[in-house]
Amino acid sequence: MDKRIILAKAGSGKTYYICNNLNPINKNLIIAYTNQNISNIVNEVSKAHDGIPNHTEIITFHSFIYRNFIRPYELLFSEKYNCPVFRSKGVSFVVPEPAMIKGKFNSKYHKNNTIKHYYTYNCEQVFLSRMSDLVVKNKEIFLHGISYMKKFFDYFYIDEVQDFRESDWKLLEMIIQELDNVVLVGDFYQHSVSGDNNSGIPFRVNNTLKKYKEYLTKLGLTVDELTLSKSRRCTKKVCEFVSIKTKINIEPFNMSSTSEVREISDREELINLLKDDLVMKLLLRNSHKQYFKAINWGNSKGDTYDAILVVLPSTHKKIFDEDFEISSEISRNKLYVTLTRTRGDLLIVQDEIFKEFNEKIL
Amino acid sequence: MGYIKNLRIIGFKRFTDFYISLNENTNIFVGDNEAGKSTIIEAIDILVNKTYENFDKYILGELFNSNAVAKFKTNPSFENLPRIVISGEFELKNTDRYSKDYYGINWYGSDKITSKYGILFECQVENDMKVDVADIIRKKIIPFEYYTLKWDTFKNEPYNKLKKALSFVPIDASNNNSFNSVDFYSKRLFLKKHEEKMTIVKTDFRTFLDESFSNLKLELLEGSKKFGLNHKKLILENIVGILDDEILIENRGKGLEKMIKTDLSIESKSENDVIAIEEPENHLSHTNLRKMIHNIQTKCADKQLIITTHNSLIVSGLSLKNVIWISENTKKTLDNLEPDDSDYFMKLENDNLLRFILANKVILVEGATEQLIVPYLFEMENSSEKRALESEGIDVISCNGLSYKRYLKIADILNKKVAVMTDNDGSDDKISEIVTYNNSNTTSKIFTPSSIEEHTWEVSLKKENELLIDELVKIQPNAKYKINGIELEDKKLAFMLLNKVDVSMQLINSQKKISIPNYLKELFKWIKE
Repeated sequence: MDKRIILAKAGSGKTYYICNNLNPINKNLIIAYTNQNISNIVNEVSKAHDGIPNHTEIITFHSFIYRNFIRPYELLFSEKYNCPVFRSKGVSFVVPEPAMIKGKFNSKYHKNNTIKHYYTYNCEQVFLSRMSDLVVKNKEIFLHGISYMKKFFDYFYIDEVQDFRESDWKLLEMIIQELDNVVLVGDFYQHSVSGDNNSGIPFRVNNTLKKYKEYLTKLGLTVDELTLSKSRRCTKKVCEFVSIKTKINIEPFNMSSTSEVREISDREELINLLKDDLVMKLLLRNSHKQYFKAINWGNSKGDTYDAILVVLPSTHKKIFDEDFEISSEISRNKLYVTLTRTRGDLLIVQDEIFKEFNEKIL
Repeated sequence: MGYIKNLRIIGFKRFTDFYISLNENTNIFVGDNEAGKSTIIEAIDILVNKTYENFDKYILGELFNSNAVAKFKTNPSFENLPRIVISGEFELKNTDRYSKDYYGINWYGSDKITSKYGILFECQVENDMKVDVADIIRKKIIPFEYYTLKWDTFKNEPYNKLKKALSFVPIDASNNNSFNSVDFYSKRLFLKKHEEKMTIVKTDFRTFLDESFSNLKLELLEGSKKFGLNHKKLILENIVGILDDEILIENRGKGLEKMIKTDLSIESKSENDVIAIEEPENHLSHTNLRKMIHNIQTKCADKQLIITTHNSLIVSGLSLKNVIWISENTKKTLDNLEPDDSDYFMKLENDNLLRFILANKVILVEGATEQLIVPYLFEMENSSEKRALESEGIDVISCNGLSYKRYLKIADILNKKVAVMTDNDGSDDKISEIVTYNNSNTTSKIFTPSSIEEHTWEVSLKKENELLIDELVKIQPNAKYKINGIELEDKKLAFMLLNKVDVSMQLINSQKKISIPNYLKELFKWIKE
C-alpha cells in the first residue's frame, strides 16, 4: 500500500516523474485536472514507454467521473429523483442557474434534490460544475464507481492536485480514502493561480503549508517534500531570485546552470526582445491582444520556455528593491508561477515602460 | 479467453423469452429443424456484429416473434408493440482490450447492483415517439419506420464495433448459395481482421483507381459531361476474396472450401473469438468431416465454439458435455455428465445418441432382434392408431448389448421418458435391483420378466406363443443345437437363440397375431402414458 502526496516545486518535473515512475505492466490510471495537462502527460508517457501502455489510461478528472461514475448508473436516478429513465449525451460547460443572484432568490434555480439541478433540459447533459456534487450526494453511485475503479486499475496517479476545489476536492478525497495505491502530485504554492475558484475547500482553511500538510496527513497520506523539491527547469540564479522575492524556497536541481535575471529598461533592447519569438512574453492579462507572442500569467501554469520577459504590474514595481514583499497569498502564488516558467533567462520589464513603448508603436 | 456466458432473447423469431447459458469452449446445439438453433446464432450475430444496423426497417416484420405480433393485432396499443431484446453476458478479463467499456449494470432485467460484461440490444419504439405512432397503432399497423435499433454495452455506452472486446464469426454451411456465402464470408473475415487498416487504405484505393482511369485520357462527352468512376461501386471489401494457392476458394469445390473456411477462422489470432459453424456435415464427406472435427478439437482449445448439427458423429466426436439440446423455448444440457460416461459416448460412432437426445420418448432395447420386433409389436398393440410410434414421438433404440445405464444418466439430465426392456439373465439380484430402481424413478423405468425362468426375451416370446413358434420354427430332427457348448433340451428355443434375427423376421413376415409377453405389455402401456 502506497498512499502519498508529493509536494513539488515549480519545474521540478511533476509530470515527468509520474510518467517515468509508472510501471507499464500495471493497470495505471492517471488523472489530471486540465486538458492542457492531459496532453502533456500523454506526450510524456508516450516518450517514456514508446506509446501509451496497454492498461494505462490518461483522462481528465471530469471525463473520468462522467464516464465511470455517472453515465453508467444514470438508470438509478429515475427512482431517486423521480424522473423518466434517461441517458445523457455528455457534459455541459454552461454555468447552471445559481440559487441566489445579487442577494435575491433566483426563481430559475432548481434545488439540489431535483434532477434539473444537475442536468440541462431533458437531461441531455450534466453540468460540469455539479457533477462531483451529484456523485457525492449519491452513495450507491459512488460505491459503484469505486468498485469499477478497483476492478480495472491498481495504481492511481493524480496530477496537479492543487487545482481540485470544493465538491471536486470532496469527491477526490472520498476516492483517495477508498484506494490502496495512490500517488498525488501537486504544488501548494501553485494553488489559486488559474483564475476562477480561488478560494474554497481545501485551501480556505488550510491556507498555510503547515496546515495543508497536517490536513493531508489526516487523510492518511504520506507527505513527501523531498522527491520533487528541486527545480529541473530553473537555473540557480532564477531560483535564488524567486526564493528571495516570493519567500517560497526553491532550489535548482543543477547547481551549475547559469542564466541571467535582469530588468529591461532600454527601449532598443525591448524592441528587439518583443520581436524575438524565442523569448516568451508573460502579461498579467490581454496577452491575446498583442502583436507579439505572449501568454497571460494565469495560463502559463505547466509551461516551460527557453527565456521569458515578464511584464510586471505596478503593484510589484519594487521587485528589485531589497525590502520587496507581497502581502496577498494569491498574488504571491501567481508571481511564483510566472517567474518560474523559464529554463534560461528571466527578464523583467516594468509595466509603465512597456505601456509607454507599446502605445508609441500603436 | 473471453466467451459468451449467456444470452437472453426476447421477442425474436421463434423465441418469446429464451435464456441459455453457454460453455466456455464447445457448444453443440442439437434439436429439431425448427427448434431455433440457427436463431440463437443469428441473435448473437445481431448482438455482436450489428447485422441489421443499416437495413430497411421493414425487415423487422420477419424478425418479430409471431406471438408478439398476434398479441398486438388483437389488442393494438403502444405497450403491446412487438419488440426485440437480446442481452448477452460475456466473460472477459479486466485486462482484456476494451473490456472496461463493457462492464456495468445496464443488462436486461438488471438488479441495478451487479456489474457484468456484455452488450444489450433493444429494438423498440422509444417512449418519446408515443404520440407520433398513435394513429398508426389505431389502424393495427406496426410502425416499422419508428423503431430504433440500439446497441449499448452494459456500461451504458453505445456499442462501438471498432472496439470489440469479443468477436463473432458465424460460418453458415446450410446456405446452398455457394457463391454468396463465400463472398459474404470473405468480406466479413476481411473486415474482422483488418477493419482498422481498411479505413486507411480506402481513400488510397479510390484515389489510385481514379488516377489510373484519368490516365486513359478519354475524350469528353458533350457539354460538361465525361466518363468517371462510380464511387458508390468502389467498395473495397466487396471485391475482396480469399485465395488458396492463387485460386479463389469458391472455385475449389464445396467440401474443400468448407475446410479452408473453417480452418481460416479458427486460425485467427484474436484472443476473444467466438466461432459458430452451422451444420458442418452438410457439405463435407465423411473423411473430411472427421478431419474437421480433429481440427476443431486441436485448434479451438482456447476459443468458444458453437456448432449446430443433425449429425451424431459430431455430437459424439466432440465432448458430450457440450451438447445443448434446443427445443421450442427450452434447452437442456448434458454438462453434468460424468467424464466416464461422456468418454463412452465419445467413442461411440453411431446415430443412436443423437436419436436418443432428439426423441420425445425412448424405448431402449438390448440388441438388434428387439429393435426389429418391438416396433412391430407396438404398432400391432396399437393398431387402432396409424403410425403409433411416430405419433407418440417414441424411438426404439438398441444399446447393442452394452449398458443401458449410461443412457439413463443422460435421460435423467434431460428429464426424458425412457423405458428399458431388458433380460433378467436369470438373476434374482438383477430383478431386485430393477425393482429398487423403479421405486425411486418416475421418468425412466426398467421392464424385465418377474420370474428367473424367463431369463431372456426368446424364452418369454416362446412361452406366450408356443403354437405359433411351433409352426414357424422348423428344426432338423437330428441336429444338435449348442449354446455355449451346452446342448439344450428345448431344441426350438436353442434354434431361436442361435438365429435371433431370422426368427424375428419370420415372425414379422408371417403377419400372424403375436401374443406379447406381459412385461412388454406393461412397458407399452407405461410409455404411452
